[in-house]
This record gives sequence, structure tokens and C-alpha cells, in this order.
Amino acid sequence: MGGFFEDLPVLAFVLAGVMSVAGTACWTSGQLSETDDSDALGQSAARLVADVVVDLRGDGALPSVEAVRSANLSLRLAGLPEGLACLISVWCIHPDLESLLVVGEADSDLEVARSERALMNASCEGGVVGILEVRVLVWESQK
Amino acid sequence: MCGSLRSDERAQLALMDAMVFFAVSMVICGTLMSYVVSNAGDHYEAVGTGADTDESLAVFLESSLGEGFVLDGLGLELTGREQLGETLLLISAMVLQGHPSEVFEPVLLHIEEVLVRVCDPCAALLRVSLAEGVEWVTVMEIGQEPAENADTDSASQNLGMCEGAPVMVTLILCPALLSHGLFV
Repeated sequence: MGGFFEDLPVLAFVLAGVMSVAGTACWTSGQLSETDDSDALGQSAARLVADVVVDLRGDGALPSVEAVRSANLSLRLAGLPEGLACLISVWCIHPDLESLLVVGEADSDLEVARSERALMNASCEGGVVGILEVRVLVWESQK
Repeated sequence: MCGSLRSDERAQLALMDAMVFFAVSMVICGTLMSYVVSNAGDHYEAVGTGADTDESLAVFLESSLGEGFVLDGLGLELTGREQLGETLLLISAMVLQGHPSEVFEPVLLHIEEVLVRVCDPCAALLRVSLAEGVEWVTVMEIGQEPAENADTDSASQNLGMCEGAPVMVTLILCPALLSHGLFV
């Protein structure tokens, strides 16, 4: 009985060491896995925002704000990799601040999401060249 | 003394071994955590400033002024359809001719508002410079000067010629917190 109690401090140190290493290893692998997911989402968001800008620019001429407002981006939503959801919004930030287009899916419980933005010019009323901001948010779908 | 150890000496040695084991495991934990933290730091840097600085500058200069101005003292009227690049070149030329820059303040304030919208969430400084020999002399600056030693990203574009010398515009972007000297 006395030997058991003498060994308790040894046991405590060993257990504390093992549990610390195991706990830190679990936490590290979780963090690295989250970073990998975030990087993959970031790449998807960057590709998507570039594709949306190409779609909105059309034939290369300066698009009009009205054409952007009525643009159909459903193909881009359908072309997303399996398991990903996104929200695309296009804003006019100059000369006036207004929302032009919002396309996306309603989903719940965002855990990891990445966003990207791109700028482009568009012709507004009165021959003014305005600035549009395309924002994309991509996340893992829970569906 | 012939190689056999007493019970309490063995217990002390075992405790010492356990403490060494614990210390080594703490070192391993610290190494793992510092690795994750350094990775998180790299990830933050990779996020950067959002839209590309070259792209932001090009889009900004291509866009129109968007608002009309009448500068009474100069007899100059801007309709709002002028490109921002052209407007900056015009103002630079007039400043170099000796007109006080205060005359252009309403236009410059409007240009700064547009700049802030384009570069959000970063703090931005737009610098117009004129080539004098091998040196570039600052003609005017619009926006917020970043803190010294702050991590910035910049892009330049040629605006045109003024008094026979090329005029260049440089956009300097800095994450908003760094522009106030935090985290530097």
C-alpha cells in the first residue's frame, strides 16, 4: 500500500505529460485541418469571383449597370464543387452606393467561410463610368 | 554500495525520470503550438488586402469623377464625366503652374471619398509625382499616410506628361489597423 502512494507523484507526472501531448496533438491536427479547408475555400472563392467578373464584362466592352443588374449568374452557382455554397453580390460603390445583384443559397451554421472581392468599371447613367464591387462568400454547405 | 539501491533512492530516481518526461512533453507541446500559431500568421498575411492593388488603381483611374464642380477662382468647370486619371493630371498641371492647392480642395475631398470606397477596408494614400531628372518629386498626396515601417502594398501607373515631364500616380495600401501604428 505504501509503495502505491509513493508512486502516485510519478504516475501523476507521466499522466500529465501524456495527456498534454495527446491534447496538443489533437488541437494541432484540428487547426491544420481547418487551415487546409480554409485554403481550399479561398481558392474556390478566388476562381468564382474571377469567373463572375468575366461573365459581367461579357464581350469585353464596358458593361452597363442595367446589364449587370439583369445578369444571370445561376450557371456559376451550379458550377460550384460539390459540398460548397456561395453568396454573390454586386454593388455599385461609385458614383452612388447601391446593391445591384445578390445571388446565392440560404444555408445555416457557417463554420469556415472565405470571401473575395474584385472591382470593375461599368457605365452608369449620363455617360459616367462607375465602379462596381463584386463580393463572393464561399462556405461548406451543411446540406 | 555493491550496486543495489535502497527503496527511497529508487523512488526518487523514478520521480526524477517522470519530471524529465513531463518537461520533454511540455517542450513538445510548445513546439506544436508555436508551429500552429506561425501557420496562422502566414495565413493572415496571405489574406492580404482583398482586391489586387494594381487592379484597384486601374479601376479607380478609369472611373469618372461622378460629380460636377465649378472652381470659381480658376474659371474651371468639371462636368463629372471626366476620368479621375485625367482630373488628377489636370489638377497636377495647375498646381505646378502655381495655383494654390486649396482651390482644388472640394474636388480633392471628393476624390478621397471615392478612394476610400475603392480601397476599403485598407487605408489608402494616393501620391502624384513628377519626374525631375532621375528623381520623383511629390506634387500632391490624397488620403492617409501609413505608419512608418508598416507593411504596405503599392502600385503605380503613368498618368501622362506635364510640362514635358512624365507624371506618375502611386497607390499605397495598408491594412487599416497598421495605418494607425498598431501591431507595428
